[in-house]
Amino acid sequence: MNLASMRAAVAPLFTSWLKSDSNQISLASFLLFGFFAALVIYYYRVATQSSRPLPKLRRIAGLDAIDESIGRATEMGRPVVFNPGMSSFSAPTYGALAVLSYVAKQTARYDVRLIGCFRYPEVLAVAQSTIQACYVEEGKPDAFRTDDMRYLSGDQFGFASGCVGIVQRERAAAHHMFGSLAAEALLLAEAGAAAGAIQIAGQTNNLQTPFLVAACDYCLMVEELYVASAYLTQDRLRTGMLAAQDIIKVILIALILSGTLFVTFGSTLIGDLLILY
Amino acid sequence: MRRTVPLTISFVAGMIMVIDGWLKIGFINNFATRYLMPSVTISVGWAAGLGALNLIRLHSRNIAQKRLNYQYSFVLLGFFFLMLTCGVFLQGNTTAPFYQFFYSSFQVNLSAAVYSLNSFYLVSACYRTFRARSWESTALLVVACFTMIGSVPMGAAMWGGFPVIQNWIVKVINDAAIRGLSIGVTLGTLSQCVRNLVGIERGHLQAGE
Repeated sequence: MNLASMRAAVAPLFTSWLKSDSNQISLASFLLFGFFAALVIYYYRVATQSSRPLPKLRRIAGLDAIDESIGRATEMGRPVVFNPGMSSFSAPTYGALAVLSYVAKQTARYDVRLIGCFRYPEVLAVAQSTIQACYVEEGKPDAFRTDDMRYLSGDQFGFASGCVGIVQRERAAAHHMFGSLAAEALLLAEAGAAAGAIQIAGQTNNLQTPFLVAACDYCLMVEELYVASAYLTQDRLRTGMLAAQDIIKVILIALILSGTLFVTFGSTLIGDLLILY
Repeated sequence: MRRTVPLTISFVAGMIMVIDGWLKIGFINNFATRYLMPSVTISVGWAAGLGALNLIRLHSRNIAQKRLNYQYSFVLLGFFFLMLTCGVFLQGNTTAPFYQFFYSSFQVNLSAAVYSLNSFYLVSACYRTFRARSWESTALLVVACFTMIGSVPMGAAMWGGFPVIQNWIVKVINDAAIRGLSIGVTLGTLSQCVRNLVGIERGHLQAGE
């Protein structure tokens, strides 16, 4: 049975309720999402029962180095600069805000100045309230400085040059770049290196990863950004989500390997099943 | 309450968008397209005002308290209000010649100048990185040498094998690694979205663990 006849056979089952897209991967992605949602529920139940074991998180040097960089800033009496990326609210920005909440707690605890650089005002507003809450939680509401939460520019390179200026003028001891970065990544990282800051980067843009690996002291490899909140807080619910994510990853790897084998032996069955509807 | 309301709004709005992405349910598709998506534009528009306020407050304080380099705050606020006036009040708004003059003559050129610094920073980053201090950095150095030599005409002139090796490194090893990373990113993004949707991820709401 060829692809066209398979599509014709299954289409009536889904046409009335499932949207189709130009790549015809609607069914495959819907099933994968459904399975992922089921895994999330399962691991939620596992995580809420403290007697049941969860996978251990491996050590991530870049995240361990956050404490080290804040410690260095404490000793040097210089600020920590935090950059939550170039995008508005997106998954990488939420990942960055989770790290920011940890960094803010630590800076509040050790009386280190924290400077935030923002490209989007909506991110600024949320980050500001997060940081303020962290300072209150640590019992130091007066240490929070509104003037250190800075909206720089909506323009990509306007923002980058503003951030470069802050890192160098304030002689940052630590420069944290998390979230989504683009062509300005290298500019920011080199500015931090010139200022002698410990630099930790965690972002999801594959194209920028080599630059950050080259220019930063520690670089989280893409998805490690999303692991950060679970790793830093050692929260069972978040760790459970990572376990669900890894199971999906194993399934995808199995699909890729079996698809490769099938194609090697002249069959396109796996690929055809994925683009059925 | 401080967390429950935002989490509830996030869950309801997120589920509507998830359902709208896959399923054909008339009133939900209609609600998402007509109301939910435009509401993002409206809320972002309001937030832009917050950015402007932050900028004005910070730089006004710089000037009032004569902080270090406060002169630059004058320049920033001057151009901010100039562009605001041109963009909002002049005929044609952002297409007005006066606005276009400032945009094309200042912002575009300054952005291009900052972007062009990347090439210099690239050299300095390479200089620091390509040092054979460990097994990993030596491997990076060797691969980088082959890739750079194979990419320039002089490399092909020296030995025909350089471009072939460069092409193999980029098309086979690099592509495979990038695809692996892309799958990880996609799953990580999905996981982050689900965590936000069901309220497990609360770092952005406030510190509270």
